[in-house]
Amino acid sequence: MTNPIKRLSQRQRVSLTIWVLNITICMILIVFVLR
Amino acid sequence: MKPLFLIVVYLFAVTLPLILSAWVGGPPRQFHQELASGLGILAFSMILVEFVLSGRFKAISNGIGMDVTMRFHQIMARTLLVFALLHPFLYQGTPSGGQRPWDPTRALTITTDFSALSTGIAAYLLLPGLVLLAIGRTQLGYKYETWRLLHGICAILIAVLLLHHTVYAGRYGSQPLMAWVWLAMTGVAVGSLLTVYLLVPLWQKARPWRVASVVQLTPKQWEVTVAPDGHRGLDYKAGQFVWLNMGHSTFSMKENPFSICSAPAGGSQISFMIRELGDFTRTLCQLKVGTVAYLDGPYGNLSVDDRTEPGVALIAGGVGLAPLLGMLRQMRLAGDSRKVKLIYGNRMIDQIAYCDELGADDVVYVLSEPPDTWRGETGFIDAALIDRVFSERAFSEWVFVMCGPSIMMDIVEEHLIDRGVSSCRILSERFYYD
Repeated sequence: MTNPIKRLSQRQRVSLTIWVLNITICMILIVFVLR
Repeated sequence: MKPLFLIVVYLFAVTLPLILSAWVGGPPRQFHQELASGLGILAFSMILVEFVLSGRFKAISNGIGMDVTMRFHQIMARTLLVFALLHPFLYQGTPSGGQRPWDPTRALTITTDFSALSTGIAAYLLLPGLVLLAIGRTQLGYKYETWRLLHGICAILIAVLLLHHTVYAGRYGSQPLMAWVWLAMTGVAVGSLLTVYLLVPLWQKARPWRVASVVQLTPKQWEVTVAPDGHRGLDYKAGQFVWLNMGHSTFSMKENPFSICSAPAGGSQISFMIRELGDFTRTLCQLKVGTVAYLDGPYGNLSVDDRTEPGVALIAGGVGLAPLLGMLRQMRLAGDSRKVKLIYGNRMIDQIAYCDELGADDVVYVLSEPPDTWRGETGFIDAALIDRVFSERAFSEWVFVMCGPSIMMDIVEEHLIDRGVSSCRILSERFYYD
């Protein structure tokens, strides 16, 4: 089965990466706030 | 550098001040105050990291591509703007001022000292302006060099204002360790910009080039060739591009990115295929042989040098031919045994450049407004054309390289993926980043 990431266009991969990064940053922020 | 490594480095750099603040800070305060501080800390660190995402650092942009670097820079700017805009409003309901007897360490107090807040307010007003002017740069009709100078100066001003605000108004930033961390990060950020604006021009000044020829290819396209003046030239890969400054001081902002259309195997002279589009390119007809030129580069990761696929498919729209021509020339000069096929699209017949050099073998010319006598392909470079030109074997084995208008690249990329071409076998470089 083909890796679904490899079926994404370059722009879609950049958007996905940015979404994942933003969510990770927000989760780190929540940990900071709730520590 | 590899994309995954760069993502980890980005995440580390952006969250380091937040993690250190949690470590050195006092006891946690109310939820909304901590959230306000956290958003402010993240916004500032993201602003500072934006400086090194300006595209001028080869370790970054040559690893993931200039277009991806710039898109990342632009989208993260929107995220940090949201963080920054929310930051002051979450402090509501905590009036303070002066030293509180019950809080000698200021751990529970937020400053209302105007000198410390004024720099934050100034940066708060400047930041949306900086981002909005960048987003609307094309629509507002700025000259590129004016916008670039304003963007750089405004970014440095915001960084310095925020450094003062963070260290003097911030509960976490006022801790000695954090003050040093912010100072170091601001130093790296501002230093990176000064490197681009001052050190790189000084290095360029010692490595001048001279215009060797200016040839009109079509009514609105030119080939400009430059030769190294007193040095051995540029070490580049076919398909890369440089920032080109012709006839201006190295400290001038009047430089533009152009793809190299010559091949490294062709010698030290470098050629550019340039279409008349903006202020600079419209003056190409006045360019004299012998004019001094300066090159900053090479940039970009559009290259087939290290690819192992048995065939190379080149898909070009208009002046997007430039980097692909460089690759084609390099493959021909180096006696590359890989199969190669080029699709070259234009609107009208008089826009076809390098027709004699390209020849007819393995080149498919496409015109969207063909003359009555035209016998080649007509219309746009679309899914049907791609299916007619390439075999099933090419879809399953070849590497596809494309450069041209965004709409063409979107259509071709989507179709190639539909035909089962893995995204790692699709290489592209976009003119426009947003």
